[in-house]
Amino acid sequence: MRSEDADILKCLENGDTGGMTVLFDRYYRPLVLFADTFLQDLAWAEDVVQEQFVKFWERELFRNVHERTLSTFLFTLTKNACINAMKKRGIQTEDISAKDYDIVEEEAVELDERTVFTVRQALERLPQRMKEVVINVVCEGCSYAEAAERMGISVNTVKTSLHKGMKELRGMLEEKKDFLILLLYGRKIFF
Amino acid sequence: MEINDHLYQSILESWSGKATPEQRELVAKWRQASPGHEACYRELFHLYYQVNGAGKYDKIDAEAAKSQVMRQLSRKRKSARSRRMLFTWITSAAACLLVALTLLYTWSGEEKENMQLEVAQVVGGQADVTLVLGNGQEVSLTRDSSFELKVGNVNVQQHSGDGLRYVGDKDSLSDNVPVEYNTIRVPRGGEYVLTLSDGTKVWLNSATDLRFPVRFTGKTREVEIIGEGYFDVAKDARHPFIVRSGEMRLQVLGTSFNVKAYADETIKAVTLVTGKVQVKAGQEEEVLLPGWQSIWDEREHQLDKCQVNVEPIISWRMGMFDFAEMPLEELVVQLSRWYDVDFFFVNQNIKKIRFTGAIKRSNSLKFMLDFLEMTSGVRYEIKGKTVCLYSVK
Repeated sequence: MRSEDADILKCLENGDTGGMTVLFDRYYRPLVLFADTFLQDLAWAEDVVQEQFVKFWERELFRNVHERTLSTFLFTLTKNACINAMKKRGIQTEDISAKDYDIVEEEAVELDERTVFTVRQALERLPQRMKEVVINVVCEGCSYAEAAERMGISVNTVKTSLHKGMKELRGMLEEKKDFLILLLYGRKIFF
Repeated sequence: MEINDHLYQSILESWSGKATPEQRELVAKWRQASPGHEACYRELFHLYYQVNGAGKYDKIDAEAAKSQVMRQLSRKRKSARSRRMLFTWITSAAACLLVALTLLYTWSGEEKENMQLEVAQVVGGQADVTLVLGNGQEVSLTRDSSFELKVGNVNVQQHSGDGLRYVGDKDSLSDNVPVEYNTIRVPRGGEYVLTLSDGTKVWLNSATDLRFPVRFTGKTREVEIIGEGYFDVAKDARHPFIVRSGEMRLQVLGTSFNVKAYADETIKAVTLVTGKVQVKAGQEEEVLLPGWQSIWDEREHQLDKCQVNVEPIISWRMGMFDFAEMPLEELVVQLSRWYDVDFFFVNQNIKKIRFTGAIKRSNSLKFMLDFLEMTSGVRYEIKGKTVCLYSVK
């Protein structure tokens, strides 16, 4: 993973836009999801992140970045851009620190295609109503009341279904993690 | 650890930005109450973020975004290599367009009007340059001719494509004999390069006059320019090189710089590429360093300087039009000088549209106009010898 970052930087220093393509494939979606936690607007988040990619290339910011800090650098760049974008629209940014962006960053880097696939599979295994509640509240950012209205159920049902659904998801995902560790461990024995 | 439903709701709604201040405070207090709470919070967040991300992942059209960003990058690339790639792309696109349009034109079987400008045929840099000798005699310098001529003890040679070269005696500088002045007159649609007797090379853009002595004598080397020229001054610390243009006077030792001082523009600009230049205009005076531009506002009698990107300014010398955020009204002035055509704005609102790009000057006028049309909300129409520009909307 880290060696990939080193390759990206080497390409960029040689003036090769191919480096930007790889950088994009690796970081675009995680950065957009990260920006979305501040902006709560996916299209806006995409705009802001795209601007950062252009800036990164245009101002040759990659020249000042060490391969080990590339990820942190990009996330910080994006965070600051989000704060500026929000200020420009007159949105309060005081509780951005309460968003614990250090946790978000950690999560964002880990969120790749494989994780997404695993989570989706787990979601599909939930009972229909539970799944819908989780999607409405967690994925689409509804409040409990909004989700209840959307689905035509009581807020209390949302409350219990969500709590239960999340617990089940956690169980399933942890199972997966254990399974993966087992696989890796098994390989070690054989080779 | 169990989190009660009420707290659970507060945490989740705070993450989606829907929490009330009371809910947010509740969450903050709970997190601080014990390290175990904090760990629990983080664990829940981990799950929340994964599920949230999985839901949104496919809504992000990464491929579309990538091609959009990559397009912007290639437009903004500074290196010559990428620019060349851009030209190649533009050139091939335009070539296709040209072929298509020619075919269309032929098929439609339209009769050519004699008075109508044939834009596809119009290329710049073809107009003949005139050399005016000291006695007022005019010599037409056809592009592809070679000749040699003797003015006093100076040899004037033109080799095909090489421009005029004045070759004087080595010690002519100390000579005090009155000296003959020549003028090179580059009309609209022309360009020229010449070498003065001291070895200084001057590139002259369209619609430019340069007056110079056939050999330099005395303490200074002085020339006069109206229009645009790029000077690569031969080093000679004992004989400063002086360029005059209207009220402006530049003094250099050995440097390269661009002078843009057209009679029909009140703003005159000197851009320094290497070395050092002293600029005097009216009562004012300033010294330029490389990458700086001196601007003389003739009407306001004001001399200013600013830092500029030199490349686009001197690109004409390398056979390029290089526009960086250039308003259409300035751009057409350049086109009219190069292609020797007049422009007319039917809609005034398009004058301020800005263009960025680099195009070879060897392209035909048609290529340029089609390019303008393709990349902006501007439409053109030829009326006689004038290009009329319309707003599309």
